[in-house]
Amino acid sequence: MTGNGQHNTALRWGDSVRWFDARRRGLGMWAFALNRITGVLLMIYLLVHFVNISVLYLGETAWNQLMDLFRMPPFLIFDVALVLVLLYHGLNGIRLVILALDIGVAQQKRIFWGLMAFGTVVAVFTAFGLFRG
Amino acid sequence: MAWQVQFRVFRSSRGEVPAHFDPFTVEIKPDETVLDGIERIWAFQDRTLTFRHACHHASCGSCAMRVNGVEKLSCVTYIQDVTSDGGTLVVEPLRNFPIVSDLVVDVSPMFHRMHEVGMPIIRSAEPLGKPENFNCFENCIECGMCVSACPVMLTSNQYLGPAALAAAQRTIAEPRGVDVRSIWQLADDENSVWRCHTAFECGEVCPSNGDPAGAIMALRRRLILERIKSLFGRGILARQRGG
Repeated sequence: MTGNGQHNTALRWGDSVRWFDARRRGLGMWAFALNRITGVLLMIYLLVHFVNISVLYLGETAWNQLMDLFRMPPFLIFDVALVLVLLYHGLNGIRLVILALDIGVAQQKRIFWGLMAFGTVVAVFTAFGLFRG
Repeated sequence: MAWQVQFRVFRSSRGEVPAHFDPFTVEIKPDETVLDGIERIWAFQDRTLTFRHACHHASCGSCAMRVNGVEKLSCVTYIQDVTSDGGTLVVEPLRNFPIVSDLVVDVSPMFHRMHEVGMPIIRSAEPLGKPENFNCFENCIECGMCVSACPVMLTSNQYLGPAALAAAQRTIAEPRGVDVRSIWQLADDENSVWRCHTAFECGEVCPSNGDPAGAIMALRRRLILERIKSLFGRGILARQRGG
């Protein structure tokens, strides 16, 4: 956009982080903010994951020690949290793809809650499986 | 019985004075409106307060502002719905528009964009097609609240915005003699349909129960179909590329 059509408000640092503020806003805004936050978390996890797998370069013993550490309860809680983040981001992503095709736009809140209910069931089963070993 | 409410009103005059909030204590009945309170501040406490209003019944859109952080038409926002006796009301101008003074913003950028997409004004008295397909966007009062509520507009001042995109969809769906080729091009721009992040806040705050986000999704589907067609050398996008 150029010329008179441009919203010539100078963008400020505060504005660029204010999208995060979903207080008193609707479900769609909360879904949007959470989607971005979980996206950033997954990005951070990916970097951590790269560091983790690079331990393979240190040999089998180092790798096995790391795996033993990851099987301890505090890390299993982290795994459950990771599953929750993955499920939220993935399922909400499916919702966004459906909506982008102009399918079920009027039912977007029901689609959101339906997918979240499905995600909760999957998360519970996954957590059960992780802790049971 | 009147309530005592503290209004915290945003004050700024084109950057001459650093923006700040002025507190005003107002005696007001719970079934009066936020605009009633602002008019009372102007009448009895501070004649320099700048704000805009006209119809007082939600048909002109000029009194749109943010009340406790959310876009409202202040003329139909009742005190009892947004605060309590002894409570506080934070009143600010719309976001994503240049501030003229205090609560007044320059909404002309939105109108320029509406003009670019053919500015469809089709009255609700003459809907075409099936009633269930009738989109309330015809009832848009151009208040700018959707533009203010959109989180994407906070991060990009190039984004076309919900009002103009919904208008583009309306013009493409029903051109009524308007040449829509340039509108297709505008809609397919990176700062247009594809920039929307589907937060649906535009529809949440719309005082006319319009659905700008729904219109953007409809336009997105049209563009996806046109892009698929263009792979086979068909459709309006392929014709545009071919000159």
